[in-house]
Amino acid sequence: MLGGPRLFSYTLFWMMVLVFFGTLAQRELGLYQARENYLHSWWLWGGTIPLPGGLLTMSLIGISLIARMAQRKYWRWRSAGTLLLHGAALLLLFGGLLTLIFAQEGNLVLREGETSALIHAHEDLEFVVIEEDVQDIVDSERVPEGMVAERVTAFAEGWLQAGAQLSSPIDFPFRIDLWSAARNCVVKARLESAEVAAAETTVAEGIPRRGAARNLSLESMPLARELADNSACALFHLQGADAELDGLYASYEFMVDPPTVYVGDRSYRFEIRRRQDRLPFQVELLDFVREFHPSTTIARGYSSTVRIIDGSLSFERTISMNRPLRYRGYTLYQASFIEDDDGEASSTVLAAVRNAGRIFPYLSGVLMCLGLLWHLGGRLPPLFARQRRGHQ
Amino acid sequence: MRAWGAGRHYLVQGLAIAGLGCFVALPTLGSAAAETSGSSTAVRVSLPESFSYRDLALLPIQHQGRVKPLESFANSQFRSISGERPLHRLSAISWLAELLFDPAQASLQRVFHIATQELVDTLGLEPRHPPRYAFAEVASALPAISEQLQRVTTVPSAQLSPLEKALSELYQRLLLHFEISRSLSMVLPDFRFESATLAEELGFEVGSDYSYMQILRARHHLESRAAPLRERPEHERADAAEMTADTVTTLGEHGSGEERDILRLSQAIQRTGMDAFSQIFRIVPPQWEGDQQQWYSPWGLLKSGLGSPASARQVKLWSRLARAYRAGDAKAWSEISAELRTALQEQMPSALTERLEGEYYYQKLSPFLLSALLYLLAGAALIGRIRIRHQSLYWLAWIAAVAGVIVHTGGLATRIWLLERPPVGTLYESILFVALIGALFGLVLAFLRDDGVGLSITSLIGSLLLLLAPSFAGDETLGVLVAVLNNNFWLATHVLTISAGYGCCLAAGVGAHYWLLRCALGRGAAPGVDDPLARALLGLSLVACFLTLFGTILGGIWADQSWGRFWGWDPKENGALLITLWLIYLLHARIAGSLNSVAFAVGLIVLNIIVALAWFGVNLLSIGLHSYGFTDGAALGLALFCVTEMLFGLVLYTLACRAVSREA
Repeated sequence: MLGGPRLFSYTLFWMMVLVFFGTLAQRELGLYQARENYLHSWWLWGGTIPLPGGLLTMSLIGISLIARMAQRKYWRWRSAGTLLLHGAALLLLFGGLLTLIFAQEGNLVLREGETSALIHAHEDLEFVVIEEDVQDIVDSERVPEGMVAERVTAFAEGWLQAGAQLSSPIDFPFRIDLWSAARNCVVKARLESAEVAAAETTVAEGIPRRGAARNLSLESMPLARELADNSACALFHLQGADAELDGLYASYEFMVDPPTVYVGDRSYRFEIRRRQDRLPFQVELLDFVREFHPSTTIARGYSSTVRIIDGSLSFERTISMNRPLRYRGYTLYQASFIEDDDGEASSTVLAAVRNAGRIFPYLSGVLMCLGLLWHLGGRLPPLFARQRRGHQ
Repeated sequence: MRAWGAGRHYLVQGLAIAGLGCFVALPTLGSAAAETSGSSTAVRVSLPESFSYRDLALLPIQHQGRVKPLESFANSQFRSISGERPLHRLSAISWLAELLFDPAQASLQRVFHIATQELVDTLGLEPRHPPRYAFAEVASALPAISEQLQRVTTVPSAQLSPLEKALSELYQRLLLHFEISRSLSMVLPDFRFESATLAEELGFEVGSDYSYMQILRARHHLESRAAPLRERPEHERADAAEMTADTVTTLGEHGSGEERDILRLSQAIQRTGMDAFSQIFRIVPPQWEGDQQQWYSPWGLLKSGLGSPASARQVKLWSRLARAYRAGDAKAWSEISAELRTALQEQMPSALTERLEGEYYYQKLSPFLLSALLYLLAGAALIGRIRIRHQSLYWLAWIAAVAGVIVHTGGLATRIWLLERPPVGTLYESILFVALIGALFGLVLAFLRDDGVGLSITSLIGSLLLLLAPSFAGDETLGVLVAVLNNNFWLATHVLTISAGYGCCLAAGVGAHYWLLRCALGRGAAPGVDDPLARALLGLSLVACFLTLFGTILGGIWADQSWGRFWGWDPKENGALLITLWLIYLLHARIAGSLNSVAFAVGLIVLNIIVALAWFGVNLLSIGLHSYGFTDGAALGLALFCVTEMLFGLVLYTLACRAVSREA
């Protein structure tokens, strides 16, 4: 039954339905949310009815293909084309799974002359506790002169659930309980949002509000169409430090002055932000060039000349549209640029991607084409047999 | 004083419209504009027919990122300004010549096609059919709606109502008209001295016409004499509306003839000097090393001071050309335009000169219109064959279809040569290419079968798509590409493969219509599994599956190279995926026997709908990294197509099923 044509046909048809409505939904929801709802989900709701999501459907297609290939009767030369095709399709699905689980992507933003290894993720969030002035616990020789050492403890997006207690191997002198967190929020003065303020007061009765949380309320919002337009927020309860410090704190993305507490001779800053990772090498932007078609404002190309600094190894490369740089498992692409106030583009945005499943589409593509050509070679001649009967 | 007298009001209107103090000026425009537009009751083509525009049309200009002949520039600008193709009685190049050399007359040409009746009413213009209006007419109507105009120029387009959008678009067309008309204003003989004393004092002659470049040497003198005159109390009103109102008329009662001449000329010099904003007419090739392929407009050259002896010679020739035009001297016109062409050719590589000529003939011959007509002829011959069963009609259809494909291929080959890139980079180009692939598959089928189905496919796909293509062309059909598409390798592989897949899908879809129709009418071979045409359709869909699958994977690989991910569920990617999945679904079901021939053929009609949605519908969503196509006005057409196809499929399916059951 699993290897039969029915399961395959039904799942394929359902996949088309998902792709169709997932595409239409992008107009309302934006690409990210529609993709998450329809295609990167196990289930979705059609009113009150649970329906298979993209992940489940693709898994079923994969199972159906495996079951088909497991049938001994197909392991014949005559079916070699079909076998190749089905195997290649499986490889493609497997590569997609690897990408979904392991791929890392983010942006590396550099001004001309700047060196950095910091990647800002597009989607994933993190809640971080940043301890400042930690020279006493790091090797002082590793801290460049004039710089101050910080210790960053990051809690990945999976932690960001209401009621989660954020614990780490580092023994903080306080406990953090997350009261609420949302991918997109609007920050309002508490007076303006009396309803939210009242609800919060009821829940958090008796707990003092500290810092910005005294005057601000964080209202959860539906996700914006463009991922970059979302601003995540978190409301957390800090306790166990000091009676004067214990209380509710608010933090949101792009906050100018994130909540900071001082315990003993240490300060702790709390931020919610896009996940930050470090490349295992440094990238210095030497030059960013934006070329136009002559006498127009139509861009012909963008390119960034960078220097890669990896320990004692250093070399220069130019990254341009369709010509990425691959190094140590990472691929750097020319993704965008930032204009200065005077309209000059001197900051580049490079997309940095690490993807364990990257090779699979290439492999699968080649095998699929070979399989299809094999299949067509056997099938087409009789289908296109010449048939003439006189033109009258 | 004809030239300046007629041009004065036009210039006043234009400067005001150009946004140089636009909203201050608008209320004062009414009377001046009305005076000019009062005489614009008929279209006047002021030139003698003996003028030859060939040399002018072959002159090079750098526009929208590439060097092209003036013929192409004239065509695209006429389309931008008028909103329609050139009129038969007024070729685009002759319209451009008039706009450049006699702007005042050109402002009376009814070239502005205003399709929105509500806008015509808002402007207070007289209803007319066809709704074409002159620059002068529209300009004179603007003061009454200055507040709306201010809103459309300051508020983002997304917040405008359809009427406001139409007004905004019309305003842009007016600006473009004005900018082109001022491109050569420094060489137009628009200045004349009326005061003998003043002329003699400055070394000019009374009654002779001078250009801005010639009279510029008297500018300081005129300015120094005009300054104290302007400070007289009776001239205050004129100063307040300096750049817009008719200052000379205001002064008339008070000053002497010489004073009026001083003020008039100094003000005219000031006004003409403001034409330096006009940068669109880049007709002077790079003069110096380091110019980085940038061509100069005459005003740009004058203002930058980067002229050379060669450029000075060219500007002088343009000046002589303008005088020949104004004088109606056809012989001098031909000689000077030929001389100008030779002078420019000396500064260009020979390959560019050849391409200019190639593009000129491409524009003149309109190969795609020609091949559409040949495809139609093939179709007409096939229809005729139904009534008159004569062999010659079949061969006529064959000859017309092959000729259509040859001309079509020639047109695409010319585009490859002109643009130095693969033939598909825009939505318009994809239509041209898909039409060719569909037509070619039709010919292949026609070679295999002589029942006319192949030729019908060639005729239908070729003619319909080629006639549809201009609606998606925009104003410029030979455009440069944005950065992400500017890659010949991927254009030649992914884009051509996926477009070929679209073409093959359409051929299979049209063939399915034919097959179903034949079944429904109970004609030809009995419908069944062994029907040769049904087998050929299965073959076509296998080829289509290969092309779309391969094209989609290549697209993924391009995305991986360009954006760092193979698949992002972007609408265009999803569109291609839908076509591929549908074909896989159909083929599996057909080969496994769960779909009979009739259902399979209906599936191919549905394929047509999916192809149309993936091809055009994605651009309507205006989202994703691929949404760079032209979309306006396409939604209704697409919806109509989908509904018609669905109805057609449903009706044919019902009829064909009945026919099959009768056979059984």
